[in-house]
Amino acid sequence: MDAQLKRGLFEAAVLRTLKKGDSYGYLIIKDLPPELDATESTLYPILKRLESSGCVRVYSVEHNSRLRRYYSITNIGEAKIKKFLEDFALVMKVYNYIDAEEEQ
Amino acid sequence: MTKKEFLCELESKLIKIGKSTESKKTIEYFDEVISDMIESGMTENDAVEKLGNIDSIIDSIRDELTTDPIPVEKKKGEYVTDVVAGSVENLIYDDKNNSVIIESSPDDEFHITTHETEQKGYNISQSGNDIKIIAFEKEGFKKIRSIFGFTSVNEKTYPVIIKIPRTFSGNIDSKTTNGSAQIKGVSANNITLKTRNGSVRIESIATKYIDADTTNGSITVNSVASDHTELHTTNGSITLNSIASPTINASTSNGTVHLSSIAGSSLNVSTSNGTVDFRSISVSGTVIFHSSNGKIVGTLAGKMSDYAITSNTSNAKNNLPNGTSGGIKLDVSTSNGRIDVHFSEE
Repeated sequence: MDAQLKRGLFEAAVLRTLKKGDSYGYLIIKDLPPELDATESTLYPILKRLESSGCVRVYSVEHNSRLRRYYSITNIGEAKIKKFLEDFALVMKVYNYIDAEEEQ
Repeated sequence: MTKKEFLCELESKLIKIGKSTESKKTIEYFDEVISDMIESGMTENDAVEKLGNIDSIIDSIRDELTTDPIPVEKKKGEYVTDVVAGSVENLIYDDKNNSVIIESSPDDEFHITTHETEQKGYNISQSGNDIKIIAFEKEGFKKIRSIFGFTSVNEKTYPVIIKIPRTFSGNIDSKTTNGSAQIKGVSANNITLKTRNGSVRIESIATKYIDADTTNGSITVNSVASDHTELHTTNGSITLNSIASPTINASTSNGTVHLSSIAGSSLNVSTSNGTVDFRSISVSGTVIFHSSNGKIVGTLAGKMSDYAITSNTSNAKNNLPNGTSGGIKLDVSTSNGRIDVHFSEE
């Protein structure tokens, strides 16, 4: 998959996961669709990016006498999901056009 | 590879690429996910193996950390760049031939307004904990300039406006020339304002350290709380009002100095060819007023006997005695100007 496209999908999918409730690295991976091939390593830069663009907030919670960082979606993050869906509605229209051409 | 080995190697590689400020967060993240994998039943080795190659982790982080904020064109040539405060610790502004206004942001983001002209543009970048606003001369113009051998061309300038979130507690480092520097309603750890051929105005600031430096321009400071205050100019006046600062060093030449409502423990003021006047000065340690060819007049808090006075002038009257033995050191000297210092409780 194209890297740019994949990153956009990855970010939106992480935000969607967090919309269900605050979560932490390992659990986010478990919730993501398998098609994204997400690993703990590929998730990290995505979380960093979402944090620095203000889409998520981070806080720590103690778990088994260590700290777990929880990620929580912000208003900016919610707006980003909405924007993603609007953009993809257009992409789907073009997809349908391309797909129809293939069938001819 | 064990978790410890993995984290050590990751850290040393992050430091090598200059991302040491990011390394702590990164290490904490990977420490946490490895622990979570082990907790869910994986062996330590399998967990580390699942994370893959350290070099490709580094590559992906490096890419993410260089994403710069995107300027948005609001009017023709006028750009506003918004940056989430997040982990920003240092704001660095570097310009020439322009004025800068630093003020408080209405929300928790930085808003930076810059203008692009035919000759000049701005690079605004964010990496690690730094935001940098750096002016650059456009290549085409630089070429023309070098062919014809002139140094600069007058074009209309627009001050850069930097709005700082109230939550910010880091450092501001602002440098320009041939323009004024203004900062108002901001709190920060360290503030450095440098310009040449321009005035400096500082108002409603809370900081640990403030350093303002110009030439051929005045310095005006109003309502400032700072642990340490350094103000230096030449050929310009210095005006200070409502300052609470343990240490204040202010110097100019060919300029007057006006001081009112100052509280601190050390106040050191010097000028040449200018008057020093003051009122409501309450200093607990050392007061120094130096001038030449200028009078030194005003009122200090307390009684004369609170001060250990050294004073001298030439060709003019001096109302201060020498050799009193109070706890506050007072050193007043000038030439060709009178010394007329009074005390609020006498």
